[in-house]
Amino acid sequence: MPENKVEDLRRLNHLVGEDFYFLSYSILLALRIFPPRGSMFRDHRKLAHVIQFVSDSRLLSILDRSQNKEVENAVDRELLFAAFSKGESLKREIYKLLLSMDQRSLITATPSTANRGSVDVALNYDSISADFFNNELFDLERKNAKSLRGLVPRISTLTMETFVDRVYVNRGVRAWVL
Amino acid sequence: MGTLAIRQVQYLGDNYRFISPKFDQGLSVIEGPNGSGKSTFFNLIYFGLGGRVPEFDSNSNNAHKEIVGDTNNLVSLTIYVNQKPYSVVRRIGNNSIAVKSIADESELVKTYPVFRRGDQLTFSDWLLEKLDIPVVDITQGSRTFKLSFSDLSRLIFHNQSPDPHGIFKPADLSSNFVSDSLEVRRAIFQILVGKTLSSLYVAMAELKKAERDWEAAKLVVKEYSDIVTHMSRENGIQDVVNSVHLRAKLAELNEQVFKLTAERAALLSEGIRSSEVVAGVEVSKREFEIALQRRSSLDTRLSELYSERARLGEVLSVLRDDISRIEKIIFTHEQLKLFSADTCPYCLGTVERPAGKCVCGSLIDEQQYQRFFYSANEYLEILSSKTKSLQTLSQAGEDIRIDIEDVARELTAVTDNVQRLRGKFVDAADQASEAWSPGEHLEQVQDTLIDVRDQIGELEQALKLEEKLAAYQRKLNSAQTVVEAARSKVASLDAAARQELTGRIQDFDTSYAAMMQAVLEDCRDAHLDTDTYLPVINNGEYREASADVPKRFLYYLTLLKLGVEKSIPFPCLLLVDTPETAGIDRENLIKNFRQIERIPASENFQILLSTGVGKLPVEYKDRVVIRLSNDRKLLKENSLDSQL
Repeated sequence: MPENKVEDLRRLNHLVGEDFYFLSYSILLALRIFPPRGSMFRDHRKLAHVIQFVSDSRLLSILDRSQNKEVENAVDRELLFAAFSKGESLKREIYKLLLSMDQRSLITATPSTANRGSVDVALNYDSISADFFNNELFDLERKNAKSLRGLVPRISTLTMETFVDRVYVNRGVRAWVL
Repeated sequence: MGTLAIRQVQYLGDNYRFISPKFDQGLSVIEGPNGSGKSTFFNLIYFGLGGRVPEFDSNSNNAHKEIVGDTNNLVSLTIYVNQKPYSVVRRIGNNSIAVKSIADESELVKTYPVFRRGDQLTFSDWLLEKLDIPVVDITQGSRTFKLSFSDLSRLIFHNQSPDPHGIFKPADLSSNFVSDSLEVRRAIFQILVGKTLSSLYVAMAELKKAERDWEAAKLVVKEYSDIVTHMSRENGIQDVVNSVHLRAKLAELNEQVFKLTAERAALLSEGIRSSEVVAGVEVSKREFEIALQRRSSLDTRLSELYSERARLGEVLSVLRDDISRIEKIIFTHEQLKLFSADTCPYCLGTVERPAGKCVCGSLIDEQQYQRFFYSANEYLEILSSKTKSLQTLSQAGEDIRIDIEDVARELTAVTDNVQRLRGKFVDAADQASEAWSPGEHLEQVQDTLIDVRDQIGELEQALKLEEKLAAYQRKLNSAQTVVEAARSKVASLDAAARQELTGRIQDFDTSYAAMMQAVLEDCRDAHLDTDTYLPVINNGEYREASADVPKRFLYYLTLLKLGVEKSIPFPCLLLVDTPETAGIDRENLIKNFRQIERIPASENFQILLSTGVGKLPVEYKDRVVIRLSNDRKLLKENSLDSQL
């Protein structure tokens, strides 16, 4: 196979939403914003869903329009369900990534007190410079994370079940904890 | 007038038979002792002419045992009716008579019933018609019957009467509903002696019938006019209006209908759409429809373009997101350098890997090594390719935008056009419908027309009733005319008949008195009672029993004499069965017989007379045609006959 073909193939196979660097910075930003410094983000499974909202302002807009009621628009409901299923499919990769980042001491991952088989995580503030997080490239992500914090309070301490109910089920999306 | 004569009498049965000689006109005598068959001879004739003979009835007390006991027996007469010969055959025990003309071979045998049943012609009807005697109706109470030949025979057939004082032969018992009343006897006498009287009877019967018809017609008119009045009232017509006025009214209304129809046609034709207007509406409609179609297809196209743009927008936004994420990925890569080609895909730790080998140690082509991780350069390439795609897509978005603008512009134009064409169409339709609108006047005309037609219907109904009533009235009127004509005919015949009857009775009295005086020396006067037509001798003071035979015999003979001398219906035939039975000495009996000479022998008449042996005047010896004795009875046994 000619070299340029190989390059093309690799480029085509690249999925931004599943890229480890994409997942990494999204998780780091979430850990920086949600739990207060020194606190743990409980149950890593929530992270897989949270990063969907942090990276996509449309999803936040849907959450904003459907507070205390079901999502009216079928397209919006579909998008919200897509976020749920994407989050669920990324759970394993996220877990692997979290352990890798724990090895590199970027974060601290400990077995969860709330759920067996899950890990609670916290950002090691000293390992990454604040400039990284404050870079204007991440303006959108920071803004989204802050909006999410307003829409779903105490997100880092909620159980996975409560989180799914509040974010998906209460808004009319069929979702369940796997 | 008609004459009746018996030419020959035959009785034919399996056991017995009798064949008479041929009788000429004038007197023929059957001589024999009692019980030799003289009465049977006359009974055979009477039976053959339709009379009822109890002796021939097997149920009778005094049945003639030879005849009743015989089989296949019949009476056959040869008779002359008005000089024409006929053969008449009646089976014993049978009530029909076969008649055959002897003179006319081509004439077929005709069979007539003896008794009347329905409208069928009886034997009596046939015979009386031939004798020119009308069949008259006699009304007694509520019953009407026709006088038959058997009835008239009561003054032709001088039988051996059980009543020595009677003149008339007793009526046939229970043959039909004939009752032997004075009225019937008067009628028999009157019919036999007076032609006008016969006509009077006919006229009276006609009058009765006419009166019945008139009554019926009157009833019908009354009933029907009640119905008409009732129905007219139902239809709201209070007063009687005759058919002439009804027709006039109908003509008037029909005229009105004609005018109204014309007016309506005129009103309608004013409003009728010209083909131009129609075509105009059609064209406008078509244009409007085409524009609507165009607008609809543009609408569809536009919504397609919108959804295309939306899909493109989606792709663009994803692409933009990707680009911005790749920028962040590159930034994160530079900052954290977390992953490389030497990162373990399982633990994500750094692997010390020799070149040309995978983390598992297998040999690989470094170029084709499907690593999970990308280098900074690779990320840049992906970024540039995505950016290029973004440009392409943006151009596509621009194309769509232009398309949308074009389509939207055209749609605006088409929508305007639709609006305009709709207006045009509506105008054309309005124009057409205005031209078409019937207007109040037309409705009035329609309403009036319906009203008038209703009236016509009612009047036609009334007219129908009136016309029918008028027809019934005409029938009544004509019935009345018939009644009046019949009445005047009866009146005039009545007068004539009275006159004729008076004349006849005078003639009868003259002849009868002369004969009676010749026979009875103490008879000064003999005349008919004008009520009963029975003889009164010496003003009713004469009561000698010896007068009974002449009284009756000469009565019959006088009738025959009148029949010969005057033109009366009496058929100039006498059947006289042993007149001496009532009791008379031989001398007087001979005197009676000699009265026959008063009738000229040359005249066309016939007397069949039976009497005992040696009772005849000597000069009549040669008149004896049948001599019977106890050894030589009327009926001969066939077996004896064949032995001889």
